[in-house]
Amino acid sequence: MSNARIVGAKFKIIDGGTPTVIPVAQTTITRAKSEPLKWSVTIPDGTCQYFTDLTKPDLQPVGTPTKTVQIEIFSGAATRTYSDLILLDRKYNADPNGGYTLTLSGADYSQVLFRDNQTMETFTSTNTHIAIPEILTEYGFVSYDLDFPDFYLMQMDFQKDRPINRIQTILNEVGAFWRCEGKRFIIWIPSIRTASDFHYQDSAHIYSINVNEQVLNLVNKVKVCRVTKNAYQAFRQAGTTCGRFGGKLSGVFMWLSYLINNDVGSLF
Amino acid sequence: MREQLESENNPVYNNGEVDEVAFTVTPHDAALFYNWDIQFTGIPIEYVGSGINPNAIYEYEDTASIAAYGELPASNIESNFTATNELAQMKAEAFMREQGRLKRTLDFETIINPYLELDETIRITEKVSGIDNYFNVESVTTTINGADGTDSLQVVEYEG
Repeated sequence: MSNARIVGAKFKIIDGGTPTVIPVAQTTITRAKSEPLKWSVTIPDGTCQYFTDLTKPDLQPVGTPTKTVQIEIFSGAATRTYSDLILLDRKYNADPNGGYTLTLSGADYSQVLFRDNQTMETFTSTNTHIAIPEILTEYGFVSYDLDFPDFYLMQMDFQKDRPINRIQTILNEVGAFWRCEGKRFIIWIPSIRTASDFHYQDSAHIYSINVNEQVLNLVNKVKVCRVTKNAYQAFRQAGTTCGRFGGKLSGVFMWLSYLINNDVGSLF
Repeated sequence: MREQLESENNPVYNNGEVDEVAFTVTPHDAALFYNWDIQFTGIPIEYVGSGINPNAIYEYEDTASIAAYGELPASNIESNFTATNELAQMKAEAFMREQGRLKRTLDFETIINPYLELDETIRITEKVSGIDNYFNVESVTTTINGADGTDSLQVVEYEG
């Protein structure tokens, strides 16, 4: 398939602040809602020039990665730079018939939110628009867009879990999704719109198309409710006292008066 | 003397709903004294003024679909985090949008558009299939081979 536009990609590894540009033969970037961006590049490397420490995966178990990747893609006059990508995997394939290639792949910065066994202090009596930024800041994000309604969190535990699970728990309450742009975390709720940001038309823009129409499970009714309602003990107090009102036991408890209408058991 | 709680002098806390009060009274020293133990169960004091409705609930019904096909309910969605009826409604509507009212999905290959974002809406017009509608982007895969490349998009159409 020919493409009228000139397209290309520029691949760069930034290690300790020093950028190194590496020529690539193929670049693939996949973005999906509420998933880390996945990237992959294939580098012709007949002399093992790039199979060095520079291209070694370097995701630290704690803290932020010191080595990041930047991929710039362009299509005609349009360009876009993906920054703060993380290098997760590399493969070197030496095949005299197929050539010598190094394949590097990884994810965007949101990958740090998928670390296992993470713990933060339990969130109590706070708001979601406070809790999510606290988590993101803890894991090195520098900005965020919280395009969903704020609500109160009575308690949310965060022990030996993935940070993204705690964030997703909150977003599930309002049907929101997330994506990552460098170290910026963006949350949004999809809407049904009748205005478009881009218009794809016939053969001018569309090379091939598949249409899938399915009704696997038709659902037309659902109930959403809060789980724990009344299982709390609000107050308990014990003591010894005396008092009678109208011939019955009585007393005052804080702001509430109680009156025992019927004495039960032994007369006293 | 028992220590006074801050809440005892705060009229805000007089408005909490009490669901159950349990008394235990045992006789002590003939008719002069009695031992007592009182328990209040209900909304904890820290919920008062938080905006949380412990009884938050919302039931979504697509009346047109129910009239056509009968009731086809999903399992209840229960959570400790649903704070209000309004949020319960948002969650129910989001569930129906993603699970119950998805009209169709499209996969197509197109020219690379570096500016396209996942939270954007696109319009697709394709005269052979007769499609001319608005779609939400699910995923985008950009592949570049040398000086050639494509975007592979998966998009969904929600019922309005």
